[in-house]
Amino acid sequence: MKVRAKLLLFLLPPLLVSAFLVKYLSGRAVRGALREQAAASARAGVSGAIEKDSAAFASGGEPELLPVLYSLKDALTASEVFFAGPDGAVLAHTDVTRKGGALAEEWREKLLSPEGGYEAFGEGAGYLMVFIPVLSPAPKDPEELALGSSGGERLGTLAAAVPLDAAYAAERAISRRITIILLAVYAAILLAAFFATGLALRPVRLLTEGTQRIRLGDYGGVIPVASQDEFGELARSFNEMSRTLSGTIVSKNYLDAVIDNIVDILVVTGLDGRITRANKAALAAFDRPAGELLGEPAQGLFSGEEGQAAAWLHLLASEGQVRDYETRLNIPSRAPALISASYIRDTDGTPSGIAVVIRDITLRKKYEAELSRSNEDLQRFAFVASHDLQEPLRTVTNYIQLLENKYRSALGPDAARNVDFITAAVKRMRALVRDLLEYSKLNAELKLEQVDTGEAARSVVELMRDTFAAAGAEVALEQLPVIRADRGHIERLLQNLLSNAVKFVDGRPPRVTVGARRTQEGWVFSVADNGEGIDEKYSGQLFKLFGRLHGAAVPGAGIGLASCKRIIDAYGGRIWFDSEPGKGATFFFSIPQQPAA
Amino acid sequence: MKAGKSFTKALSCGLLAAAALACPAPAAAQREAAVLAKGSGPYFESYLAFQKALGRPVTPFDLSRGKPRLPGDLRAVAAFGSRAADLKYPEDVTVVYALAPGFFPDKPGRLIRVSSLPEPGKALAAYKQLQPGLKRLTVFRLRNLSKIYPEKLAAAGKAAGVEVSEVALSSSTEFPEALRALSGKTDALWLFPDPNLISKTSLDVLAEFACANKIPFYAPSAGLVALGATAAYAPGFAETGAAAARALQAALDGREQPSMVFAEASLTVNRKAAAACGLSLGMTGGGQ
Repeated sequence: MKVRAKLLLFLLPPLLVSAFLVKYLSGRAVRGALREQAAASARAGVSGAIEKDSAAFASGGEPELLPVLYSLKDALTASEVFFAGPDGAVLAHTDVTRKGGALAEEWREKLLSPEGGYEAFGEGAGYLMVFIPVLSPAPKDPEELALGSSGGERLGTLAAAVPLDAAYAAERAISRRITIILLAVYAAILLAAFFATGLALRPVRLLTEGTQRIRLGDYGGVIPVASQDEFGELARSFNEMSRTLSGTIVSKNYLDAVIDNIVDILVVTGLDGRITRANKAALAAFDRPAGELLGEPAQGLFSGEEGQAAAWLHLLASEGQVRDYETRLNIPSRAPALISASYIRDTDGTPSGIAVVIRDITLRKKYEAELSRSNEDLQRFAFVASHDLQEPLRTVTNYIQLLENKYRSALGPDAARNVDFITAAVKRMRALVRDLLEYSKLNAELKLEQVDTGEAARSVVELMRDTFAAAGAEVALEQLPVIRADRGHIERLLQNLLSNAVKFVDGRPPRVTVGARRTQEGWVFSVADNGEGIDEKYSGQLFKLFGRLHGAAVPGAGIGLASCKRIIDAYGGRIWFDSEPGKGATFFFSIPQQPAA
Repeated sequence: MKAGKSFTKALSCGLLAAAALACPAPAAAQREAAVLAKGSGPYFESYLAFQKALGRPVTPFDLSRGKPRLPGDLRAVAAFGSRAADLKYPEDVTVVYALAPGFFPDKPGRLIRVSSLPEPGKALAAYKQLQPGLKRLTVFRLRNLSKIYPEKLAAAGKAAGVEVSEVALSSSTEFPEALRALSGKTDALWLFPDPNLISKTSLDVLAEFACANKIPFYAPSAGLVALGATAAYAPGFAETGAAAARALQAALDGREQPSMVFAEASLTVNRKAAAACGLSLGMTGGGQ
């Protein structure tokens, strides 16, 4: 319902009530005044006759009174006139049959009243019975006056029934005028209300036009702020909203452009999983127009049985989000893909839809496969090379030792020193080849089992007992956990890190502590030493293959930490260190919780 | 236009008559004469109609100007008004008198009365036509009125099925008492034309009583209808003059005729008064 109609409905009842009250009260007042006026007019008309025909009234005789009464009847256009004596008895009446008749009780009171009065009567109160006391006139004879007769004796009451036609006609005329005035005033009020509403609603109309412009795409439009009142405040708020909306819409367009131009497939679904939006990559990937894709269940985009295709949806429902869920697209090539999905939430956090990003990983799989093959080839090559190099090196070593033993005395000191150099070089080369062989043996394929890392650490310490003893090192093992891992990997990790800890010392006996703590990313193991420490700037090359920081004086091929990193990468963890030169170093590695078998 | 013509006609007739009245009466060659109580008003109007009906000029005598010198060979006189009727005429002169409702001659002679009342049968027929339910009619007359007309009226009433009651009054002041006795006992009131009974007050009393009792009040003449009566079936002045002319001519011709003749009467209705009193009259047309 329009505001104007509501205003009309609001105004009409009080206007009608007030109109009724005004009409009723003014009608009563006017009627009373007109009756009073009619009575006064009748009294004025009668007073002359009373004075002129005082003898007739004094006599009280019907023959004397009738001419007077008829004369008054004509003069007043009365329907009846009568004269009653002081006792209320009708002495003469224009209707002669009513002489001596009884009067109504309510009339008797006014009839005998000293002041007289009037009373409306007749059908529709069409007449006014006016009662006028008739007093004896003052005597004109000086002698009578001298004798003390002053007149004023109540002779009776003259009553005349005067018609109220004229009064009612005047009342009707006044009523009509009041009605016209009321109608004019109320019409003016309604018109004023109509126009005032129009003025008041102008800002609302402008606001409506503004919203319509926005609906039609004219974002950022403003409406004039013409006042400082609530409407002005509303207009300002609207303009602010419009500007914000304009920015939002621009961002949306920007986002649309981005979405349509990203390589990955992006679809938006409702909570029921039906597609409500798809980007160009999606249309291209599934080779279907938008009209066909929209409204389809999103699980239909993926191959496999219904439950399998919708598994990511169940995962989303249970986990709240899906990250890199691997599946295959429902296209002829059954391309592998990763699904990442999350809920689109309203401002109050209520889910309103699902955003699904699907990455076609066909190429990645291909590259991974190629890389895997390459790695395997390389690994095979390294294995073969290092394994096959062992034999000649062993032969070289054996023959060098044979030569040394057989011809040492004949070679002389220089030759003996050269032989030592050769022997040492071959030894380093053998170590290098051995390490390479070990490195190449590291397989990304994990043989997971429950591993007591404390026991594994103790085993390593026992294995390296001679090394530690030679270095004068002390190794402390804290409480270490049981984790799901490959025991060989754990032992290799600890062996490499402990080996480094006792290798790089600053002259003091090595003190090494092995510990572990549980964090959000899994178990984080630490190997802390009091060695010479490492400058932070070497962190980049430290974990690379053959990444050595020391010269030939320090044994090692730079393969140990690279092997550690390779092992940790296989678990999805990370390895790092915390150290300053001269203050020892602590190596950390994390092993995330591995899935159960 | 009609009223204008009537006025012009009356004016011209009046001027002629005035000229005739002003001239000395040439008494020797006339057998008839007209004597008017007053040379104006109803008498004169009636006289004009009399002269017209007679078809020849008749010398008028105005008593208000003095005693007339009547022609010696006079055979018949038309007297208009009681004073004119009461004048001493030669015994062999036939006197046709009219407009003298209160004059009842106590001397025998050749007197012919043109009644101021309508012919009883016609009057009752007219009132019955106006008031079909009329059963009881009360007539008011002066106590010493001649019995001739009341007897004729009673006979006509008997024939018409209307009970005619007479109320004989001595003066107009007796109306209230008489009316109080009649309340609810009559269907209509009819006042006879008599100066002793007719006054403004008596007409008011009768009209008021009739109105209060919702019965018609029939006035003695059309002129009195306007004073509050319901209707009047009565001869007008012109008709009375014409009737006098007919009676005079019959006397001159030596034809026998009754001592009372009636003029043509007409019905005048005061419809406004009737409506104000809530009366429904059976006759349409006419009236005021």
